[in-house]
Amino acid sequence: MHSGYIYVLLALLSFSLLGIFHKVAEVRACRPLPISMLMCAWSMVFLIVIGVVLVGNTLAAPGSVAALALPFGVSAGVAILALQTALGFGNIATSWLAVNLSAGLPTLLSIILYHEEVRWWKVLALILMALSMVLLWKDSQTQGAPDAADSGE
Amino acid sequence: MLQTVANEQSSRAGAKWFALMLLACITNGIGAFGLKVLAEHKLASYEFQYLVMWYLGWLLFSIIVFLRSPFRFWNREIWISAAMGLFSVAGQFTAGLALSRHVAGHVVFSVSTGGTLFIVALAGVLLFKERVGRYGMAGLILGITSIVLLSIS
Repeated sequence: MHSGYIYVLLALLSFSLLGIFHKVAEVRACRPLPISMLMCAWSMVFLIVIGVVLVGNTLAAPGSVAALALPFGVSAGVAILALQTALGFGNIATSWLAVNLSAGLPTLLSIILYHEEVRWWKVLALILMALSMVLLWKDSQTQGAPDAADSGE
Repeated sequence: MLQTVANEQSSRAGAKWFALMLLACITNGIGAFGLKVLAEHKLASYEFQYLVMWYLGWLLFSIIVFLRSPFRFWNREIWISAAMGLFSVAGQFTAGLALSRHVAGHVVFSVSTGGTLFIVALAGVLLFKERVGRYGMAGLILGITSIVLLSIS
């Protein structure tokens, strides 16, 4: 097998385990804020170890990079805290999907703000994402009434 | 009567779940959009430093929330979040390695994101005994399809 495909499978395994561990944290009654905060701290440690020690990067960068990164990092922090809190009220299967559907937002913003080329499959993907969110909303409405949902009532 | 109260509570939990997931979806999408802004500002060569500062923004947000009501970390929170941090960074690193080994971007992102959704949903049902209603199932199928479509570049 091409070595690149082994890395694809490792990425698949890593991201899947990340999702599963979000649920493990909820099942083991871990609190959302400590999980989000510590996950961020650990990620920073691992990133710096890989980036500086293994790859040989430096931490020096122009101030504009920091000014750009900080607010987007805050936004990500809000996202993980909201996801971990939400797991107390819903399934990991649908929660993980909802958070991954956010991939559509950078695409949409790139089209609006940077006039990125609009291709038909991107438009179709965005429509399907919106439909998927509507279905998840409908699913959240029928939680607790599975019989009614199953029988179509 | 009891059934009505239980259904009402479940419905409220469902509404709370959806509100939190909508917040997670939007803020996660905005958080990811930063990389595009970085590239548009011709600063893509500082991606590693950007990511370190991005995590710093997330950590600062967590610290501000933490200071409002400080707490002690539990052992299980430390170790579970360490695993989550490791898998998050490992996923990004191995996806990057796959791209550097000339695996097409649509393959890397389709498999690592679409495949992850499938595996996590499967884990939710098989490991955590979650029930996914028919709306949730339809949402999952549409969501995975949309993310695979979006990965095609």
